[in-house]
Amino acid sequence: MFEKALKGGKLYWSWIAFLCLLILVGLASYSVQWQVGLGITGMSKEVSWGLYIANFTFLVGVAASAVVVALPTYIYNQHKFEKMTTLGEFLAVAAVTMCILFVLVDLGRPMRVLHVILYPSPNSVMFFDFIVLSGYALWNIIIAWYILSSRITNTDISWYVKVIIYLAIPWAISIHTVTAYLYSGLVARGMWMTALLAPRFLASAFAAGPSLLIIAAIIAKRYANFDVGREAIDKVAQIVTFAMIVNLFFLGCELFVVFYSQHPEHLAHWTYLLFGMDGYGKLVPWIWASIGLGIFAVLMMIHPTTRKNEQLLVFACALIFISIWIDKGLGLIVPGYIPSMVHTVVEYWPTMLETFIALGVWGVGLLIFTVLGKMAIGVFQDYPTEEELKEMMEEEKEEEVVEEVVTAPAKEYTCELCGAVFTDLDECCEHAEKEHKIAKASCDIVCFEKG
Amino acid sequence: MIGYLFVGLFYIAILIFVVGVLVRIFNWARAPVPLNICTPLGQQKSLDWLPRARFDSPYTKWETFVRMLGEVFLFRSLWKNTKYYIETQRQTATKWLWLFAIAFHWSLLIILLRHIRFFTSPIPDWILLLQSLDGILEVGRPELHMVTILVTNLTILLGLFGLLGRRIVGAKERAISLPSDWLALILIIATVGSGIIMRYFWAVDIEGVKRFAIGIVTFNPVLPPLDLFFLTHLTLVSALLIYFPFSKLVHAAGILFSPTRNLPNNPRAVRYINPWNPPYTGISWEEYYEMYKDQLDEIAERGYKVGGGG
Repeated sequence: MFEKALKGGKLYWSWIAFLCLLILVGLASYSVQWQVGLGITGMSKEVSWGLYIANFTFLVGVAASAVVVALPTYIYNQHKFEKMTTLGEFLAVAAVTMCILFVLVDLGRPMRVLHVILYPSPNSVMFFDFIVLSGYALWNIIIAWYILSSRITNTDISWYVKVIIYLAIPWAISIHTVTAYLYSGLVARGMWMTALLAPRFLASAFAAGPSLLIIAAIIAKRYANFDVGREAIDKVAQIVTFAMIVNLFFLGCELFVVFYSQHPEHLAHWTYLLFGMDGYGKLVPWIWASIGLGIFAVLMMIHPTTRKNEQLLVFACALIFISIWIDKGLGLIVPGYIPSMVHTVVEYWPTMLETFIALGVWGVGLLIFTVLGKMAIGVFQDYPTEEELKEMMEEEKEEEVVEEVVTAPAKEYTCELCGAVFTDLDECCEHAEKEHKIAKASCDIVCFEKG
Repeated sequence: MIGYLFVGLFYIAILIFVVGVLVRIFNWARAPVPLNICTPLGQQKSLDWLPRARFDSPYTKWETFVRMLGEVFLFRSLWKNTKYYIETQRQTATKWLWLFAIAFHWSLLIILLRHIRFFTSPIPDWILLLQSLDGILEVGRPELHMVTILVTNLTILLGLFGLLGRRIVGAKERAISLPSDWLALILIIATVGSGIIMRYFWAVDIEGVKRFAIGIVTFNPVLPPLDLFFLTHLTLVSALLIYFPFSKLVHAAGILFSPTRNLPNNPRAVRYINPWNPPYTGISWEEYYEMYKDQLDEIAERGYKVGGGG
């Protein structure tokens, strides 16, 4: 199965090479962090979660969104979405891997990571996050692997894989909920301490993840001749639209509560984020860009003419992806720490090395997704189901019929031996059998198309 | 007094191991390979426009060498393992054997290399580097006592219990498992287990162990520390060393002499002649013509060309 990932064109290999380069740069930067410590990052005493945890939060959402495409396939028995689902599951595997790596690079002493399992603290949300994330990664690998295997062997999925599929659906919701609880349970951080955080996370996740999936599916269609189906893309685009609308609505609710109630603990963070404070406002242009892009993309997605146009759809999805990345990353984690608990503003900005490490982790994730996706595409193309084969045959037949209707009047056949002209190949064959004693089956040695 | 027994046992075990493996290698090297019995895993070199599997079906010595590297370091053949579904006549990849095998073998290699630290003084730098990379994980209370967890200790257990589990869980694997298969696995698990117990749970006289190890390699034997787990480990290692040349474990050396892997797949281009075939005596055209004179003349009369050389 894996061999399918090793066959590709120039474009594929240069993309792989580019990702490997990213990973190498990230590794080199991480070796500096390994020796020096987290001091090389822009994080400080005041802002102790930065780019790494921001990306982690965002990617948990991307991972959770695989469930969006898994739901219709298995609950409503809609096998049209199978291809999209498999892509989604591999995207989830890649995203969860990135999540785990982002947490690892955020650890000051990554060598003590085993403590999480050896000394579990059930009252810590981190412990549960560890469990749900690693479990989710495992379920998705198993599900995707067995879907591809059953495709190859043309057998049904085993019952235990089906159990895992049903288990994975609530599990996906749980990973993002638990991640939101990491923040919303903190009394001292006004910005995060809202019950709306988990629903907001889910809404944004269900917009960002499927957006990436749509982009991947359309890239696969363009460059790998792999069509997940117009219907699947359309359905997922609708989900993105609804989720993004809900996400913006939740943001509005949050803003209303904060600015109407004027609760100082909450207000300070949002004021810093949206308008700047004490002359500091590094994040202001970013968050407005995020909101602007989000609204613009939603308008594009709502209108069917732009949503159904592939290029514009990719563009809108990219906008949504960027908008949510800014919103979840820079706009949620960092301002939660600004102003600090003693009401001083200490800003955060990622350093060069920190950015390279983050890019390296993204490189790893994209590499995993590319390789697994390529594998899935190869399997789906090489092992079509009987239904797909029928469809393909019918399509071919239709094409043939169309050709005949168009070209039949223009065709003329001549008998090479005597030069007689016929409008039909059958007539020519009969003539050949009668006059020249050539079997009908092999009449193509004398009957040729004229011209 | 009992210490002398263990020194003797260890020397005998090493002797049997070295001599045994050399004898096996000598026998393999001497064994004739009359014909090319390479088993390729892909399309062989043929016409130019046919895409061929360069390293799965090697043609030159260099390609064969690369194939051997893949076999020895990446277990290419195990990677190709498949499961066949009779009902639908399809097959799909199963990578469990490969996964557990590669986890076990690489861990074992690194663990063996790490053992060099017992037999050398001063310890080479690269062994220390390997050790520090392997021991990247640590657990414990920082202010009291930190324990280094060696990654290979975890992965070798994963590999070994995976391999054992395959033989227990899989019906087909269970059916084809011989007592020797179980013995080898259990012997290795016991050896690894006693080593892990010594490392983490049962403090041994590590200086005594090192003195003993250096004494062994300098042929200046020192009595080993009389410690339950160290002596168990030593005995099990001796048992493995003695068992090695006579068992399937010797595949470590055998893979290099395996004619299905170390020959290029070129029998369509190069002629392989079995050296002990009876000498072939052909006949010349004149003799042939004498034998079938009448028939050949008759053919020639009908206008066909008949003649030698050609």
